[in-house]
Amino acid sequence: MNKDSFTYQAIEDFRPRIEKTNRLEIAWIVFLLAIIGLGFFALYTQITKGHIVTGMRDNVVWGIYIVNFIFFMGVSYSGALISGPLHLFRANWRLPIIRMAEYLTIISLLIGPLYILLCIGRLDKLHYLVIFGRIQSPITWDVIAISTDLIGCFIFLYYAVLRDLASLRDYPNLKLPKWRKRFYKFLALGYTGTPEQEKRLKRATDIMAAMIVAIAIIVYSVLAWIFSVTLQPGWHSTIFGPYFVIAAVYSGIGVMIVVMYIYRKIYHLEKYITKKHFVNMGIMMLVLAAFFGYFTFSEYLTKWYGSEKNDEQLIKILFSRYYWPFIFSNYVGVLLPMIIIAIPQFRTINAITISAVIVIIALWFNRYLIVIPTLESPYLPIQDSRPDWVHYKGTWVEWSLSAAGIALMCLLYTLAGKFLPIVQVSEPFELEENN
Amino acid sequence: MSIQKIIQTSTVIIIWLVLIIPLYGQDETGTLATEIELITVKKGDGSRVFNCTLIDENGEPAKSCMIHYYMAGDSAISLGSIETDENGKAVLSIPETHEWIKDTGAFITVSSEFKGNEQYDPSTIEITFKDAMLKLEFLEEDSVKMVYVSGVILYPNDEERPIADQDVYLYVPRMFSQLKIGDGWLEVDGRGGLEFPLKVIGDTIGNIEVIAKIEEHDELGNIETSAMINWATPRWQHPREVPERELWTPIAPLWMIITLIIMLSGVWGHYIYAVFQLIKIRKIGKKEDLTKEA
Repeated sequence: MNKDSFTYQAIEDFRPRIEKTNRLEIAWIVFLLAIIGLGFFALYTQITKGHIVTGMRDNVVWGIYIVNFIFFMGVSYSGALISGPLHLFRANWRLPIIRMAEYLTIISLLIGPLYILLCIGRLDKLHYLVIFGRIQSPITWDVIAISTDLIGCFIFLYYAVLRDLASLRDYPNLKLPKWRKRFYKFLALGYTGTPEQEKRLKRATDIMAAMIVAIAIIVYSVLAWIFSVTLQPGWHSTIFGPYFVIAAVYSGIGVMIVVMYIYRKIYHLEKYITKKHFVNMGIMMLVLAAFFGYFTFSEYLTKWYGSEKNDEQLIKILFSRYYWPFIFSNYVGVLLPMIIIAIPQFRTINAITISAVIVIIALWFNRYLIVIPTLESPYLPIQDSRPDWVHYKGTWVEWSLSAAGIALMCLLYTLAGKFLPIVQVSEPFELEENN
Repeated sequence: MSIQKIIQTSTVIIIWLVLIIPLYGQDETGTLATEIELITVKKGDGSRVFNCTLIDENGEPAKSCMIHYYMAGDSAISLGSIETDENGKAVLSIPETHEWIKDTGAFITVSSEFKGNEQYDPSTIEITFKDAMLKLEFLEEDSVKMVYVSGVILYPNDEERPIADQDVYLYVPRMFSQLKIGDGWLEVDGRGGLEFPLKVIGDTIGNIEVIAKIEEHDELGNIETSAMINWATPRWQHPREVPERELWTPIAPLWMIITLIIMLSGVWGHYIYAVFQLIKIRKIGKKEDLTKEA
């Protein structure tokens, strides 16, 4: 490997992080493990005492777990969008952040379905989904779609990191345990960059990049159809498919910006991740904010104007009991990012990151407002239920497991960043030396 | 006030205390008045059932109360004693072999009595009825299936007289109750015929139980009899619905299966191609290694 090459220099920059784990990282990992430990305790409580320890009851049968599932699945789609189409369009500015996007896709896809498992009361009958699954059921579609998406994303990630694995295999000064070097060698599959290998790699990567976009759209549409094919007020909507897809990418880009900011700040990656990346991602977020606002407006306008009894009841609940979350998610979460990014003077890294945080919180609330208020306003009036069971309220078990999922995501991300450089090192790109 | 007046007043007060207060006190002991109802049903096997219902003054059933049945109004001839259930009902069944005491008009008198307890007041009821029976006969005339019911009143010395000018009803048993399938009329000779309906569903080979009843007759009470006949439509003669391919059937619509196969084949075909390319990359790498070693 030529010492003057981009790859060599880049690995030199990331070598300390791959070779060693400093005190801050150890403390961070311990902190995350503690939260995950709390989650395990909450899980143990849920398994031994049953779902009564959650806020879910006969009426509101879905709660925070499903909200988290939708949220994480949406985040994974943004990863697919950044890695896939930007790869196909050969947008070079994506190169420093593409690894983060790929990790985000996979890790979110791993975490999201865990929440479904937490929501299921009888995990010992989980295999019934496969044995007795009906093709007509949106749940079956979802199982097939998520499994297919996960495998597709893994294959795409593998293609994306193959060159980096080969680079690490060939790098002479890497002070790592032998097992880890052997592991890089094994995973590198003998890739040496010959014209034939390069041709095959490029062809397969292009195909997979296209596939994961299509699959991600299908997966998220299927997830939307689980809601929209029911007759529940607030769910039975023809535009739920594209609405969910747009919301997914919107929230995912927000997470991506936050991830970029954290890595840039903590690991001093200013020459790799520049303001240009934040601005480009911010502009994508602005466009998606506009789309999201349009779909949201269309959704609620048609419900309100139709004046159908159950839709009226739902809108009444949204504007009374859930007034502030509704305003935050559908007004603040749409308008504030648009204003910040649309006005050039506000387009700073910090401001874009703050707007991304607002987007993340707003979109989580958006999913909450889709799931829970609808279940609190069913077609058949809720009768003979205790008042505290008619309205949903998350319990410490659910919040602990939510925190544990986020901690697990952070942990996997941290460990992935220790295994491979968080910025891809094989394809050269322009560095901002003065930043 | 003079002593005499004081004595008179005291006497009145004492009498009031002794006589009146216990009456008020009695109301405070809480016994409820009861009402007793008794009906009788003559069964087809010759047995007779007495259904007694005991309710309190609030209309609630009186539970766990002992009801005593007597014959001929004479408390010495006991028919039996049954405790009421949670619905206030006490059912006594007398077999066919029992010798009934009939008066000159062939009436049988039966009384049921509740002697009272700490909770409820006693009550009694007496009914009189004549012993009677129904018979069922099935005849097919000119492809028309006819059910003939004949009823007789049983008099002393084995004398039988027809039940004349009386409504009779036909039933078939269903899942939760009995279904009425016809009304008939017993003529002067005590015999009446009615057509068996065509579309009555029986068991898998067409057997069905037909029940004939006279209901709430003033003199005879309730009489019923039953018999099996193979005139019903066999249950499986109805064409079984073959599940079609619908959204809600076990088998999915064909277009759905085809669409899913095409989509999954397309996606997984690309995956297989991508994995194949990885295998080829590995093979090329191994070849390169061998070339270098050589």
